[in-house]
Amino acid sequence: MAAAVPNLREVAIVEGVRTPFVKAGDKLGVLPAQDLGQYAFRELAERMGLADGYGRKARVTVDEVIIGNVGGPVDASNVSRVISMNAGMHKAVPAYTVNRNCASGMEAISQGYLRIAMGESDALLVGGVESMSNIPLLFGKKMTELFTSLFKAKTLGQRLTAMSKFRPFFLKPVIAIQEALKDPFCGMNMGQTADLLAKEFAISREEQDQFSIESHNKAVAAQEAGRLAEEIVPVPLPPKYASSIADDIGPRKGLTLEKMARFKPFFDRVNGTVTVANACPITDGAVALALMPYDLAKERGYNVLGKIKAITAAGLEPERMGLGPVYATAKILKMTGMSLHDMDFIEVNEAFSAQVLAVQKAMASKSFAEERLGMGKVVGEIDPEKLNVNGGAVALGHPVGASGARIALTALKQLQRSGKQFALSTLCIGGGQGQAIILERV
Amino acid sequence: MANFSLIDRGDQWFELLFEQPGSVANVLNESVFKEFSALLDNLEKRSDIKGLVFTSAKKTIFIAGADVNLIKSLDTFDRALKACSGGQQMIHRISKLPFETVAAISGACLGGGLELSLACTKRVASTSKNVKIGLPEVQLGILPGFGGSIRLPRVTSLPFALDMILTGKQIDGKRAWKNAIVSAVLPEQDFNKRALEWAKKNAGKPPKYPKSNFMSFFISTPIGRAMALNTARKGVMNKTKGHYPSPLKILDLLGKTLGKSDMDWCLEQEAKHFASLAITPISKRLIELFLLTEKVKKNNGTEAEPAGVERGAVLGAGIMGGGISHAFANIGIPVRMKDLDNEAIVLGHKQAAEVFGKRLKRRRMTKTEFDGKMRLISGTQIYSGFKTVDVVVEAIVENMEIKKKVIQETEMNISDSCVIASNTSSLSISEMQSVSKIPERIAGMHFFNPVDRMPLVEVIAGDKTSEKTISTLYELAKRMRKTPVVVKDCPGFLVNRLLLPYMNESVFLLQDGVSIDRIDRVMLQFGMPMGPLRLADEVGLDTAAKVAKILNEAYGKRAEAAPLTGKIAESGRLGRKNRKGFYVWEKDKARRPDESIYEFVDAGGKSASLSDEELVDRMISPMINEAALALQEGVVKTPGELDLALIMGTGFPPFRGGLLRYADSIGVDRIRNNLDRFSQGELGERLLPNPALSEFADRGTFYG
Repeated sequence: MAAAVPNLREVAIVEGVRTPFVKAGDKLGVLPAQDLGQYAFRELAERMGLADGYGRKARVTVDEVIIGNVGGPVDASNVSRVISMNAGMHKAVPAYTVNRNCASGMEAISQGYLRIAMGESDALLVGGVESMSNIPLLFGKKMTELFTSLFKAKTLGQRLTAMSKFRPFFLKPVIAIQEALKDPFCGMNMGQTADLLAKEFAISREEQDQFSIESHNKAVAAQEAGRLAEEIVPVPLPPKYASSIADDIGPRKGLTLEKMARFKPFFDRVNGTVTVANACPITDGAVALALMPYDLAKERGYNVLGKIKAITAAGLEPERMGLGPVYATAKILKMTGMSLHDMDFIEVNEAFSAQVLAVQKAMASKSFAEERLGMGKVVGEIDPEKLNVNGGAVALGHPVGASGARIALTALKQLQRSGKQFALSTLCIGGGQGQAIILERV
Repeated sequence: MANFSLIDRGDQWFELLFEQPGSVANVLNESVFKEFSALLDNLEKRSDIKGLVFTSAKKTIFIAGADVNLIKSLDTFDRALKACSGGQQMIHRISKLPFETVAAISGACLGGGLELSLACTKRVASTSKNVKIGLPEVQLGILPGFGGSIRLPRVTSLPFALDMILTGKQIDGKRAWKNAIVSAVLPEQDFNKRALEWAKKNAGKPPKYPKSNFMSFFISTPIGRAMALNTARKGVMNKTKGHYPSPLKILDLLGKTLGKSDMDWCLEQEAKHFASLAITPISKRLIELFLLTEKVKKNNGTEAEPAGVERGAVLGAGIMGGGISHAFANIGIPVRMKDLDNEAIVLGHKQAAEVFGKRLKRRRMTKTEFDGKMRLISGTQIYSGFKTVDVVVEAIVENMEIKKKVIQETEMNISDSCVIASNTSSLSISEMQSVSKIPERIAGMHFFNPVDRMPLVEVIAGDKTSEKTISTLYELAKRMRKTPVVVKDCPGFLVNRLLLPYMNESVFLLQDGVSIDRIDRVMLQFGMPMGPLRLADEVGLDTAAKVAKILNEAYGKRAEAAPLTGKIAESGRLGRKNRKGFYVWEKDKARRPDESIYEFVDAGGKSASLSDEELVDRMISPMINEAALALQEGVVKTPGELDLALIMGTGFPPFRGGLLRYADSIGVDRIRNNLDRFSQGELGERLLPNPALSEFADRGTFYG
């Protein structure tokens, strides 16, 4: 545990905005990550009065742009820089991309938090972006080797020899998104890790389906009440710009257990309980947040969303990556000396319904605390009334690079609305990690 | 020597550096020619020179062409012939120099500048975006008279040469290279030096030739040539309806000289054709128009220094709002587009994307450029980002009360230095100012529909508008490549005020028995881009009626609408937008006159027997009548500005030089007589010549 460093500055999340979250392959698919992210970051800069103009000399309004992203677009490998410029930021503003897998958006906040707390920066734009629609299919190893030898071939003979090695199965693509969702250590698919938790924590199919229905119901209610619209900037759709998307496409009305029961287990087809309906859909979306030293933000007259109390990450065994929030939460509570009871709202990212249910059970389990966390008492019980009050990723979707920033933004907006004080946002991370942030309304 | 310096660059190569003192441009005028002549006397005798490179010391200009005022002053055929031959022969001497000559085109190379370059053995151009190569003479109603008409078709392919000479279009270095007008394109850094090195290295080698294939061979045959010229002639007639003599004369000249090897004879023909064009009134008017637009480019509308606009905003994302947003984005200015809901905002996006999309489709812009421009347009429902914009253009519904409310709302969201411009077509700017906390910052900025194609912007000063506000908007309009004209705040401002009596009169004629197609046809023949009834359909009959009502209230009798207008409105006709107006619209095209309108008209009306000429008089005279009044009231300061505004805002035929120039040419007195005659009949009061017109008629002309 790091020792307290004196004179750290308090860090405020001043403002935040996101694009609608839309299932991959749906309408936002026309926008690669660098274009999708632009909408959120441009609007954020505009709302903050930080947007740059034409030819304005060296109007550097922010110190850095930090964006979380997992499936780095091949044509924009430092996607943060591309988004920064596309969003109209001055060319003198540096930008970098961070990748902590499913928590990349939260890691961007973490990076910004440190830079501002330490006094390195005064104004940062951070967030996350993912266009899962645009994660490409790749040629397999054999085909790549064939291309390499073709490039090397100088004579016609060499070329023919190289070509003769071709076999039709070489053309079978590597589906990058499938590879990305497979754990590199245990070889399990993310869904399989959720199935493992369901078995270990004895979570039934019905429990998972019920949890999913509630997620959808809460999201629909939030949508209808306009709570989600508060954080969303509409995105016009190229190339004709004849229509735009202003709402999340994901939350469904009128789901029932019967309807949910129709889905077959997707990952473990024989003994599994995790289906595509009780897991989060792969999704496109972007989130942008502005960070400033709290005092400076006040001085500039901003209506600050909230302060970052603490932020941290923890690791665990990859095959149980879904329990990441338990580890991260235990750590952050210890750091801050707070308890789960202090939290008015809790956002646990819903990668899988089974996984969130397992997190709840593990947090409340004495034996889990003792055996896995080496703690004398339980992490705490999550009050279902405080959990994901506006729905979660099962309904809204999980654009992996963006979700970590989304659950921070949603929690802050909820604190604002309700006038409450503290919120915890945490998420599990493929590869066996968890990350958590505690936010405070001011 | 004042303009030229001859510099020894070693290896018997020389550089002739052109640097006109006290000017940003290099222009071919009398003193330059005089000096150049003496230079040639010397050069012709030099046997020590192996080669010569023509260079310019100006940053963005190689040679901008011949002095336009010089051309304007040519008043007789003989003087024009002499002037043309003089320059032509001088340039011809370059082609006869006993050594190689290379033109190093570093920037604008237009008209006489290109003709000089064409007389050189070879040409090279820089990669700079300042390089603009072209022969714009046709736009001034003349033709390239310094050998360009003869030499260009011999350097590049005939179709390309025709395109350049007949349209006056300008191309960059790369395009010139592709078409063999230049032999190489060299980096713009140290261009003159590179050009010299290139010239030395390639000494003795022939210039680049245009690609030869079957087509180029065919066109080089007499039959092919005749066909190419014939096609071009058809194109010209289609575009100009024969109103412009110069492109036709150019085709005549090329028909005579193509394939002829006697250069002196060819040049003689060119000079004769030039002279016959240069003295026509049409050429004089086109030159005057050119000088007027140049003047616009050089000033800011007022004495005040404009505030630079770096961020813009538009209120209302309709057709106009979207078009204005496009105009901002097109010049790289980020623009916030505010409307009440997301559906409205996306209409603005769509509008802009359509215009950019056309350019993308025609490959005038790349996909990357398209995406970049579209990104600059962003929507908001809550004025976000308005705090840092420099100008807000209001393009909401034409309703004074709503406009006042929106102005007050906007003022709560912008900085004190931000300018508010209203795109109203007829509402009073001064009245809008009455609700503002900083009225000096409010002005009118009236764009015309479609924004991307109509060059005019009326900049309207209200009672309290500051000079700085005017100059800021004037400068902005110029950056948007529009032609701004400063107009006083009066109902209809300038263009709509003058257009209304004309359009009203066309409906009176229709009501009195003249057919729809005849009314529009006589005005097309007059040179208008479309007839008045077709125009009403385009504008929208409801919109036109709204403007008409406001003007009628303001100006009374003389802006009174024909009774037929009301009946047409009752029949549910809105024009193009509901595909029902004076015309039947199908697939966005005016297919045929809507004959069902004739049931409202007096088929046996007296006007049916009027001649075409009389019909034109009936429609144009009330417009001139109103123009006289507007001019006397000081709505615009000069007749020139009035003519420019009408040409740029309504497409009034440029070859007529504008409305007042036209009036002068047929006699203001005759207009007065016409109006007298009209108003004494049963047509009555609305066509009564007003005192202002009488005054001009007594004086003889508007221009004086």
